[in-house]
Amino acid sequence: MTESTIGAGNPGASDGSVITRPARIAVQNVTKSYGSRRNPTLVLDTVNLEIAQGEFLCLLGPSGCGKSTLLNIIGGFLTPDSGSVTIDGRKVERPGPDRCMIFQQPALFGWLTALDNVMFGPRAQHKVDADTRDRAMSMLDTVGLAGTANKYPHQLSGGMRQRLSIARALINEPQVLLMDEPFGALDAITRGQMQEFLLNLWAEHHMTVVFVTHDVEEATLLADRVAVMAANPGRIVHLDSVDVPRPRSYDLIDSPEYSRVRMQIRRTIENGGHS
Amino acid sequence: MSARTARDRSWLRRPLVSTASVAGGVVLWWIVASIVRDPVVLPSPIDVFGALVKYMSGPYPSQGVTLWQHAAASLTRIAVGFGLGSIIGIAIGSLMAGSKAIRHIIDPFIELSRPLPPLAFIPILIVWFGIGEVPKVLLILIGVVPVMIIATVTGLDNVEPELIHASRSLGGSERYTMMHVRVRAALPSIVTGMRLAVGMSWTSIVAAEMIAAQSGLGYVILQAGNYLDTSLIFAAILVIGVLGLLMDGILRLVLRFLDPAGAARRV
Repeated sequence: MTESTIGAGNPGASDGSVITRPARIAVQNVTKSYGSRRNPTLVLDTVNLEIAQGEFLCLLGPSGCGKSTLLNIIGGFLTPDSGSVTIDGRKVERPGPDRCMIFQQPALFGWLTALDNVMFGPRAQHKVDADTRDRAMSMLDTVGLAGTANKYPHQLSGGMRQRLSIARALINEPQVLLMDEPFGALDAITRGQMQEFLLNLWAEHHMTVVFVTHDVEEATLLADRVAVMAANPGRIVHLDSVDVPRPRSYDLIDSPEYSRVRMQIRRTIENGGHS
Repeated sequence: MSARTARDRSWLRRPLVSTASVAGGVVLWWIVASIVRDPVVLPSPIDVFGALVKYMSGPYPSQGVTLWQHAAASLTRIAVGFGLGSIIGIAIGSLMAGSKAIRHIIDPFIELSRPLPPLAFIPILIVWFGIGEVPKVLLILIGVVPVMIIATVTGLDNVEPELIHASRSLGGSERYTMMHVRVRAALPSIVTGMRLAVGMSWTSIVAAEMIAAQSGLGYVILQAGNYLDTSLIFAAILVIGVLGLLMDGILRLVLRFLDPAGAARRV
């Protein structure tokens, strides 16, 4: 395993893509504190990170290491105390449909049907035209929910809800997908299915993905690169490429390559970031 | 899934058990009435039903107005007071949920007014506004507005931040998110507040009609009391109960329409 360089991702190969063009994310000297002015807690300490176009990057670390905070800053939900985040050179200042956020809770609108949930983005942006409905239907089809267009979220299973929230994000053709432990609330079997689903989706569309997790197995299965974070103060202590060829699948999780990568990352975490 | 089947079963059972319990209550009433054997103290269910039928079509002696017309008078006051009070309460509650400053200005008055019984205001309302319709509607407002303010503020406060984040992240502007997500998600809580407020309106209006009125169910109850027509008192109480249940039933239907998942089961 090697320290990765910028651009180690997987750009190109975007035929038949619903995503316009994947974006490059640059996190520069981002610092963030919480708490009172007199007694602040440093959550992120000068974090620097470059994420290539179409790269799948996992932020991995224990709770309290600031990985969700970093993701929220990239998403525009939080402003850093200092430093900046740019996407394709444009500074992130507020949330936007170009970088869609997927949360651990699917955060679906319970009063809307599956189809209307997917249509929310175009409606909110006043961009509904003749084929929006067809596009929404094909998004539902993409995530395997074609038959549930008129069901309400509470009538769907946990995995279906999370797929619906992904369909709701995809209709905006986001250049960046920000995922905050999206499968953390699912049972082990469903989680495995959702990981494969995400791998296939990404293989087809190659959007830039930043995926927060505390699960080493999940990180190595999905990511091109893993950014290992540590707490007190939150910072990136290690960047690793996952040199396992694609296409990957859940069946390979016990292969020697994976085991080696996982061991390496675990050792990194245990040593507090010194490999 | 098991939770759902349990719920389905309770849906089957509930009307049965409730009907049986109401029937049991009527029977118990009947038995006690036949032991007492004095229709002035406790009329039997049949006496009450007779009074109901009689005054439904025939006018009540003193004013020449039927029971239904009195009920309509009370209902009109409630419709105006409750409707106006809901609008005012929702408007003030939304402002309070939207602005910390407004919340801190209005909050002490709400807290202060909450333990006050609306009925305490009757004398002052009569002094200020006489005995027309205005003080009666105002009395309902005094009861309804704080309840609706509190329901609106808590409803808007309790909207899950994830929903608001999701909307913003999907391209909804702050205003769009406020209208289509925050307010929409708070509607079930607001309608629940309206259910409480309906009950409150009836309490206030009947009391107001007992003190200064020539019409309304409260007035009927007071008059019937003066003439010791106990059956009519019970009949009027029954009408109030049924109308209250009807209004609550309508609001419950609205609630089910607004909140297909059921308030307890959020997604």
